[in-house]
Amino acid sequence: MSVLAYLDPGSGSMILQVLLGGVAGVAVSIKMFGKRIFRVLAFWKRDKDSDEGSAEESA
Amino acid sequence: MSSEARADTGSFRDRDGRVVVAGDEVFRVLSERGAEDWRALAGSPLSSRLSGGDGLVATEEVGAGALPDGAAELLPGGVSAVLRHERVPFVSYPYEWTFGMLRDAALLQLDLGLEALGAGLSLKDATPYNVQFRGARPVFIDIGSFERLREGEPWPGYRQFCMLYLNPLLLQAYRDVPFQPRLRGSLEGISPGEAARLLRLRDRLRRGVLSHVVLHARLERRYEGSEGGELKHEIGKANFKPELIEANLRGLRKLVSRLGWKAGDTAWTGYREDNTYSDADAERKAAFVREAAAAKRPGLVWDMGCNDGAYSRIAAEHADRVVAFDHDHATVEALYRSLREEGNERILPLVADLADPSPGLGWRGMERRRLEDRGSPDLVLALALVHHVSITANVPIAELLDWLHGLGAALVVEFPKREDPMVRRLLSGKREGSNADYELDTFERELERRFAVERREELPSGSRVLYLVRP
Repeated sequence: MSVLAYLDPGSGSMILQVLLGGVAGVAVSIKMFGKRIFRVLAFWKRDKDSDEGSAEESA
Repeated sequence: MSSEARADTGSFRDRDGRVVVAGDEVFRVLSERGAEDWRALAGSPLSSRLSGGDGLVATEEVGAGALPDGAAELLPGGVSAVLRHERVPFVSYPYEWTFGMLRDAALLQLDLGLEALGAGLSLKDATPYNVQFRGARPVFIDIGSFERLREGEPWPGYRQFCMLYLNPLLLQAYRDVPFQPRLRGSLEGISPGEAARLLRLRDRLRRGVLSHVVLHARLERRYEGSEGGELKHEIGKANFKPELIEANLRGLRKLVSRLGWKAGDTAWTGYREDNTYSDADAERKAAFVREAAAAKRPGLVWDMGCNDGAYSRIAAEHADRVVAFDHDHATVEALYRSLREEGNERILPLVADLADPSPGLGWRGMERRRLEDRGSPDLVLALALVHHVSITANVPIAELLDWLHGLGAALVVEFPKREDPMVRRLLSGKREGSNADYELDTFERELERRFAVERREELPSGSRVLYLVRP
């Protein structure tokens, strides 16, 4: 882990750099935020199927 | 070495290096890590610039024996390497620069950043206080800013670049608001949030604003409380590549190179006081200045109220260096453009108001030094100046001469008499009887009290008098 340089780079500024990165930045963004997006999607999907699922289980 | 070492009062934030001044020499002491970063720089293609003359200050590594006494204690972890830098002729700060000067400094900063990236290096920070001017040429002086590239880390200097370079330039280019007072008032610069509030809604359509200002401001606020270290770690794990930094630097370079400021029509640009002169007057004045410079052979000349720089150029024929000051930044910008075009390294144009010169600023009021402490001139030109300071700025003649005397230099001063057309114009806006001390005999009496008058010449038209005096 590198020691922080004397200059505070600013959290928002670091994220902006990722966004400004264009195509390469998208790849980095997905890696960073991807897990969270996936979890949200997965949860939503399971939610949709859950009625059928629980109906099957209880049957 | 017996010369006394003095740590430069503006160099203390970086724990890996400090600038030390001893007599006429400038050294930089480096910690172990700083020394490793230096060796990486010296072994890279950028090293060709280290001989000076190509954007970087001339630098060489010297042995510890060259170090002045006491300098070794200046770094907490001890000194691992010592560098010697070429001395900058006259230190200046971004709040004294014109639009074009700040812009060219920004381009230099970005170009060096790109070149460093290609060599596996990066620049720790991005501040115009790392750039100085030799005449009209910008020179990057903070060699300690170069470090080995850290894989997976975003560019730490981006926010600072926006605050100290980009936002001031955008403010002036898009809103015609001069940045000098803001940079003098805040050494940190203009934050993204401030810039977003200062720009109009329609400016969001202009180049660079949506991303570097508006979005930047939103993200800054949104992630204000975030743990920076943790975020850096995450970005690194997500495979942040130097290519992203390169893309950002290139985008900024394109943006900055296209920023233009149409120097507004101010009362000065294009108007030379000598317009009210006869040709004979202008000729005699030029000869007087030339002879004074030739006689004094000054190392440093201050031309106060330089206007279009005509007399700076004359003085430069016999002087090592000239600093040309004017309080109107549009005038100085015009002078800078012409000096830059000829690649002039002898005349440094700066924005300064005699009645309000740059004070000491920053930590202990000494981080950025006051104007009078940055190098005593050997010759001062105060041409077409005294009436403006005395009548418009209302500074009493006696006090003005005290200040000039305090500079400790030979002086060429011009006194336009009360009947001079420009003086009459300045007085016309004032009440009857004001500026009673503005009289030739008063001026000469006060002058003779403080100086030895070496030469006196009344110009052919009869309305102005020139003096060459010494303290």
